[in-house]
Amino acid sequence: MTDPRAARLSQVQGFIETTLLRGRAIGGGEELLLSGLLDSLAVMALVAEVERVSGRPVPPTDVLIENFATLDAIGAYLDRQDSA
Amino acid sequence: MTEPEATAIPLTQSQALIWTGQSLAPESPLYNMVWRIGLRGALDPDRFAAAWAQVVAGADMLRARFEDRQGQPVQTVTQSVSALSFLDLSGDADPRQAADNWIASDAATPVDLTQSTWRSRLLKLGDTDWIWYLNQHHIATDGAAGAVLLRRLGVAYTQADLPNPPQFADHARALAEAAPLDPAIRAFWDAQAEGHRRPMTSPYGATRQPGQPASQRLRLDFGADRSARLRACLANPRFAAISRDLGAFALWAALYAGWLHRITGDTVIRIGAPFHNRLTPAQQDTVGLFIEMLPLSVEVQAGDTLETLYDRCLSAAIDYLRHARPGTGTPETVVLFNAVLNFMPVQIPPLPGLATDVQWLHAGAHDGAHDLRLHVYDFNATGTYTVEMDVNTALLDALARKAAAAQFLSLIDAALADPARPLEQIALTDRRDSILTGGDGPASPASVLDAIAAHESSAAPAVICGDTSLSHAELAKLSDRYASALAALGVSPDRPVAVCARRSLRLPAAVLGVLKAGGCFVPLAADTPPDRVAAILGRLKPAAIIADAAGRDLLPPDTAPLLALEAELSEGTSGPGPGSLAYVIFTSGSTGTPKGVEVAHDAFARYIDWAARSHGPQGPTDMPLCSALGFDLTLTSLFVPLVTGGAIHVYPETPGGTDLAILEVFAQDAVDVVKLTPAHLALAVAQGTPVARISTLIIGGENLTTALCRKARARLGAHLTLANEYGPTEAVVGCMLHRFDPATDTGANVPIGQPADGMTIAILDKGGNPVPAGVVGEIHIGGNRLARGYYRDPDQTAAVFRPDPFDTGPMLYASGDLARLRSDGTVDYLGRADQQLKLSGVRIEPAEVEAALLSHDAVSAAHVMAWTPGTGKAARCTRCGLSDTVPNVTLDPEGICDICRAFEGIRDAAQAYFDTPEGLQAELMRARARKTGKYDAIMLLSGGKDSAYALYRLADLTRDVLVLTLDNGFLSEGAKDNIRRMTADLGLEHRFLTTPAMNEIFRDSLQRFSNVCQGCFKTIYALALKVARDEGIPAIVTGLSRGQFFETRLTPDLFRGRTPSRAEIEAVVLRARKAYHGMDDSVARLLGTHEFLDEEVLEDIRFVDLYRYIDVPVSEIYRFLDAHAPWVRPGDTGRSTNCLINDLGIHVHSRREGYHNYALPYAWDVRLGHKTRDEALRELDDDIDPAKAEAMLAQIGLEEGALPPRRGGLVAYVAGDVSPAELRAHLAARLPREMMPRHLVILPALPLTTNGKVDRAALPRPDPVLSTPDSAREPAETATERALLEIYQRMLGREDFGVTDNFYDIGGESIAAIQIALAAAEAGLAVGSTAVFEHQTIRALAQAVDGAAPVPTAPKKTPDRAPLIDLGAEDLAALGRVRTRKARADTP
Repeated sequence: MTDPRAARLSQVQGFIETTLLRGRAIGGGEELLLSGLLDSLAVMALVAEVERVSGRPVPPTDVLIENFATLDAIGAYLDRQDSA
Repeated sequence: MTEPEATAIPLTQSQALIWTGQSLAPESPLYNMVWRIGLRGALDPDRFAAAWAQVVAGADMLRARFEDRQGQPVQTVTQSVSALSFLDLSGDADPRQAADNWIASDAATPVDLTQSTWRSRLLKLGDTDWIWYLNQHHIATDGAAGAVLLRRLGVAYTQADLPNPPQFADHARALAEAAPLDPAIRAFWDAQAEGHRRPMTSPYGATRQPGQPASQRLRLDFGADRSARLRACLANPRFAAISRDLGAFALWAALYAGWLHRITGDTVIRIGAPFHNRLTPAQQDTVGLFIEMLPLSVEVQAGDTLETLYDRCLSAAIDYLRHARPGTGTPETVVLFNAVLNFMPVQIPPLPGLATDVQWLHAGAHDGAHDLRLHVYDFNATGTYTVEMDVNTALLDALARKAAAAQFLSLIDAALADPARPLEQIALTDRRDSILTGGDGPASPASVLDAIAAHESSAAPAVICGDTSLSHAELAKLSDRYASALAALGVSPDRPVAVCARRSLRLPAAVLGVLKAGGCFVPLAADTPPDRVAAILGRLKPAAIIADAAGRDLLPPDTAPLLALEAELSEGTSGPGPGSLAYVIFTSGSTGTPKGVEVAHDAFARYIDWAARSHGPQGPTDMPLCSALGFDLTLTSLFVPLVTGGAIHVYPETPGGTDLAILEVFAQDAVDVVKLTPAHLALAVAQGTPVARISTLIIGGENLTTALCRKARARLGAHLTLANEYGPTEAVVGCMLHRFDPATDTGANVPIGQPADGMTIAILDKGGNPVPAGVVGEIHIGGNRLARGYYRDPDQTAAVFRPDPFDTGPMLYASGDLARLRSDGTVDYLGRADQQLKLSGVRIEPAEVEAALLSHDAVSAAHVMAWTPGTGKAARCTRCGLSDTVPNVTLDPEGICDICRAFEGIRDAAQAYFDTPEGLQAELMRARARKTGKYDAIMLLSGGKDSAYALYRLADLTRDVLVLTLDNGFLSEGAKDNIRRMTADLGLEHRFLTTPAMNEIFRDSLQRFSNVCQGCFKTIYALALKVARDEGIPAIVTGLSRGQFFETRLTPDLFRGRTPSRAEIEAVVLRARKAYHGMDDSVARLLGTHEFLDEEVLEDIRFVDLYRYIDVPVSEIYRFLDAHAPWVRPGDTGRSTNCLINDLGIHVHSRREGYHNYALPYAWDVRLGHKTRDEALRELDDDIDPAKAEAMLAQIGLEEGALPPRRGGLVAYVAGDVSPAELRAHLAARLPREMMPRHLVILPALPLTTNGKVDRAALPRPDPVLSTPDSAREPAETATERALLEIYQRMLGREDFGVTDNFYDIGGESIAAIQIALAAAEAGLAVGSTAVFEHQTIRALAQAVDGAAPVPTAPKKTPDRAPLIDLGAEDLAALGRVRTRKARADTP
């Protein structure tokens, strides 16, 4: 557990796989939203999880497909939040 | 095989809500979820039945049953699996029809939950044509559960092995054991509820008819085309959303909200939307009820397009979903909406090998709280939305339901066609229900002068003033003289002439003279403040001014040539005749300066002609000139007599600053028609002199209540025609008319009826569309008699007089008044649309009052608004739930109220007051030693839980107890049974105490304190003290709760800066008790307490409050009573109290004071841990049936109108360093009395919103009670002063003033003045109806009374003093009466 960024993203991945998808593994580039894999309620739970691991709120204007479409996108979003 | 034991599962909150809903309508199929699944192909019925059995065996909710055990639902799961039965209809002539008939009938039958949660059949229509019918109770299923069932059935049907799904029991248990909700989540939903106690407006303003809930499902013809267009819209990046379903939901919500806004008139739309509440895959696979209904709030703003409304719905939906948690759909949140959007993105898989057609059927009823439910789904994944709307049939008839659906579709079509088009531009319907046109009417003369000239040779009186009069001929001559004199001063056509005078014999001639000289008259009442006169004259630049002595006092020097009203005038001839303009009347202006409404001769002549035809006896019509000259309703009284050949009866202004001439009009009864405001009618009704000659009352100026009309007919004469005339000054006095009919006008308010001849009324929404019938819109007035515009103000004129887009006439005037069209074709008036206010018939632009405030040097900012207590956004203390609508309660930044904060500071110090059970024992030992009769103590037993428990604890210590209960006539039977059972159980002696004065005590308590408890408490204490004294009983034990101690005794003042000892606190309490019983109030008077209650008795007989010695949580009280006492929670009061008249007190208190009577005591219960905040709020959220309350009022001999009106009035917020007294004096010189703010709130600065506007929500509420006058209270000295003081206190509902305080300063106004005069006359004091205004202090009035001869005592109407006045509360509210709130209810 060296890279805290990787650590927090793996927490998010764990939440998606265990809580939302009953153990189904997801890839970093796998489409989560438009595929219908996660429905609206699950997406909002995911947003809440991202807030929890980052310790920062996700403003409503950031609740966008480009920030949450894939695990990679979520990682990039968290990184952008760091530098903002 | 024996059946394994059934297991109990806790009900989830959603289940409990459904259980309650079903219990309220047990015969109704409210919650039937009916599936009709068409199956075509080679179906094997036995295999199907086996598959279903397997599904049932695997899912606990399909084997659940529900029972009612002592009012509590119990859910158990059994192991029994009933077999699926078949119904073979293939032999029927029309199997499909037979199947549908059978299904319709079964679907409408409630599912009997004691047997099962479902019923099902497999219907055979032919060898390859089947229907599977499944009817489930919603308590055990939801939409997603339906999909789970079908999927599992498919698996079981095709392959024998079906793994068991997750069980609902696990979910329910997890919920029951879940940690409490995150406070932030709770706060989010609480915030949705705060300030929204009232339900949303129903579609088309419909009102519900009572009865069993019934609804009709309309299938909208949505179709593939529209579905495609809707999907295309969603595919546009403009409508992007983080998930597909979320975008679709937000789009549907936007369409729905846009439509609801149009059909309700509401701007904040709250939609109930279910959230599926199945986050995890395990939840997604469970059969059972998961959904919870939560409100989605969205504001519809002016100019909204589908795009902008979508954006707002999307962010509202994100907020909603981010706060949706199991357990958030509570009884508090489900009442927040009456329209439901059920968007179900669920697909139900086909059964393998069979063509599957899933239909969800309507059982013919839905939750009666919902007006509309919109369902959007595509179960069969066809790409075409199924759109259905369930409409509460108690609300809209079949035709209206169809029209509603059609209007929704037309809005959808237009919005989807151009999502960037403002929604308000879309017409819902091409019908123009809300554009009404009056009849043509006969041709009218071009000027009133023509009609008046027809009578100029008549010797009949035209103006009568006291003993003097002028005939029509004399009037013509005198007015010619005025005309000549004015012409000599330079008056020419269309030049304004101000007329500033009191009402007199000559006044009508002067006004006519102006018209004859070609000028236009500008009437100014003689009590107009001088600064206002100067402002008007400055703008007007009149050609001349006619004034009497009073008027001349107001005039600034050298404004214009002056003609004295009383001047000797030389012979004159008619002037040039009418110009085009007849008059200019100044009304309150939104720019802060008065604005002049210009009315042309032809328009004015048409109005007077219509008024004479509509209201008069169709011939000479006598009317009184008794109202203010500057008020346009006065013009009717001034001109109708002259054009009909009748007489104006002049009633001069009465002295004292409040003009009560109207009372003389009714006392003399010398005219045919009277024009007046509802406020003046209320005065006449209060005076109550029956009339014979007066036949018609034209009532205008403000909203008219049916209650006032009924009372007017009862008091003044049943022959009276009561004509409600509506019209702003801009539409020339009156443009709509409705004659009150007691048989048909049964609502609270009298409609304003239909347009007058030649007039058009259009009720339009903000986008200028005619609103559908029933929906609130703004009145726009067109036709042939509108004002020409505003005097020298083209911008203001253009803003409200606009070209008529409907081509009914040249212009439409936007009145700013709200109204709606009723189904009977008449119009209801609903108040003002904008900030403009109307108080006592006078239009008040807050801006004008603000301008007057700002003209004071020390005032830097001002904001003026109308205010009634209990209105506006309320916030609740996050700790105790107390609302900040309660006077003097404010919340700190953490949302905690003053009282909770103060309690923190005194909680420990107050412990000194409390004692131990041993202390109680010692008290009783002492009592036993001191008794001189049979009993150690009296126990006051109300029958409620607190006193019941106290009784048992007391009985442990002594059985020599006399138990007393006050039977106030409204004790619940349940409470009486409890009392009898418990005292018998303990073998204690019990008596019910009664008093014949009880109803009068209730009346007094309601009038003074807006509750019933105050009088009741004092009665029981007084009666018990008497028994104790008479029978030598040394102690009285009470069951007062600890919350009541803190509310009434252990106040923070007691502990300020010190820690008093027990003895000190007791001494303070005893002093308070002596003062309480020493008060000379109705209880003292009626029960004669001064005869048996003196200080000695109060010192001698000890009050022992049991809960001082025993600290016990409420749960323990209930547990104890359940286990040890024959006590049953009363079922007939609807709350945890024992007295039915409580409801009346709560009703009156909420209406008048703006908050709940129990708000403070319940908040104490929460603080002390006896109730949870939620429990307290739930109990406070009661909806008391006004009809029941009125019935109780009648029962105690009080009419609704005898109660004081709601507090409130005009409030001015001022930023600046200035004293209220100085500011009041400053305003008095600039504003008419009716524009004076009732409350002045002086702040360092006004709170502003981010846009820089005054933040109305952040303004503090004014104290609902007027501040006490500064002067020390001067006590009454003479018998007359004492008698008057008592009457004033009774009539004003306050006691905080003395005999030298000014009547106006202590909240007096005209109705109170008349009540006081009547009560004084009844007491034998000679007080005339205007005397209270003439002599504005009690001392001055008493001197006048003592100087006059006493009047014989008026005969009382009934032995027990009938209410002096019985106007509707609304009427009194119009008069702006204010009373004071008194100390708390129950200090013994």
